[in-house]
Amino acid sequence: MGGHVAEFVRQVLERNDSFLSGALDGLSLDDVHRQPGPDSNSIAWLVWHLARVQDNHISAIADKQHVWLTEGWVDRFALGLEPLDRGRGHTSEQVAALRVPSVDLLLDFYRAVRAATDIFLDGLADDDLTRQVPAIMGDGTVPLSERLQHVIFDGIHHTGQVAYLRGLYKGRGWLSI
Amino acid sequence: MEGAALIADGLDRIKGTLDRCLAGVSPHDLARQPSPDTNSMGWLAWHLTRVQDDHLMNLAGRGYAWLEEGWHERFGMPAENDFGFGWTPEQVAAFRAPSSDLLLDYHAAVRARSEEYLSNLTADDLDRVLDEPQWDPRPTVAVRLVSVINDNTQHAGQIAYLRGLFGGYGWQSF
Repeated sequence: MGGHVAEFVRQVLERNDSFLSGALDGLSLDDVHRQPGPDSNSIAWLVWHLARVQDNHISAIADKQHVWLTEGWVDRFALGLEPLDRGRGHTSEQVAALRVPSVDLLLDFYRAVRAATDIFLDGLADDDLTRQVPAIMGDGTVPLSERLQHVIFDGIHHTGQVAYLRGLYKGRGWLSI
Repeated sequence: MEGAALIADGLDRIKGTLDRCLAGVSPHDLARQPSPDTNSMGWLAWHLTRVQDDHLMNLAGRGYAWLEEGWHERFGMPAENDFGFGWTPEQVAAFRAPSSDLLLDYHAAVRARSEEYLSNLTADDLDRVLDEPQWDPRPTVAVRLVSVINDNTQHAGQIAYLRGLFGGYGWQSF
């Protein structure tokens, strides 16, 4: 059982899980690949990216391999990108070219990453938060808490975008508050 | 680091996103909607700030910046604690933020009050059960803060998306 902060992070991520699965519910492959503007990210790109970002952070701070590689998601998605690409700095052309095989696969990959995150949180004590871990761009170290903040912020930030696009394409009323 | 510090850091990131996304955005672009029933950047920024103002000041047992500091007058809105829940598409379409500076100033004022509340919050406070019998189970302070972080971060992400949609690639440096 993790510490107080780990439990808090888990609650934030669980709330995000329900938004993300609700936003993806019933969408077609066309929907998830749609872009409202030529430079705008599609739902498929956003979900793949936010899951890969979380995968990358947790693997770095837990000192484990990326779920993307160890569980073979890289082959199932077959995106034709470098194996450790997580979308950072993609050009508009790369975003437009990203095609996922199915909507379910996106959510399955996200859930696999979340499962690894939960295992990490189970073992996270409050004292661990000040431990130095590699910085995001590999230059030096940062406290573990900083990378945990990125996991939360980046994931929810992009989930909000997925939810917005869902509303744009399918109309209002899908989200019950 | 404790839960309250995690929340405070999250609110800083939200403010940073708004500052980057909204600086210099015209009232016209603030009101732009990509379709008739989607939210504009102006509405999203107003709404997320009002949610933070409402939820955190309720936890703190204080009045709202919106009313106490007269922000509602500067926005040309009635002296009511409305934060946009359940608005119709017509209401959202009719909403006009006077300027991006006003949105950012109101957000900074709310952020300062939130910071004051969070800086005094203990681990025990986070476990306090709220007197809200309409929910089962009744939420704790921590649960309410989790809601605020999710709500505000989602909406900040939506503002960033719209900024890119209207302004094109490259507005944000990586």
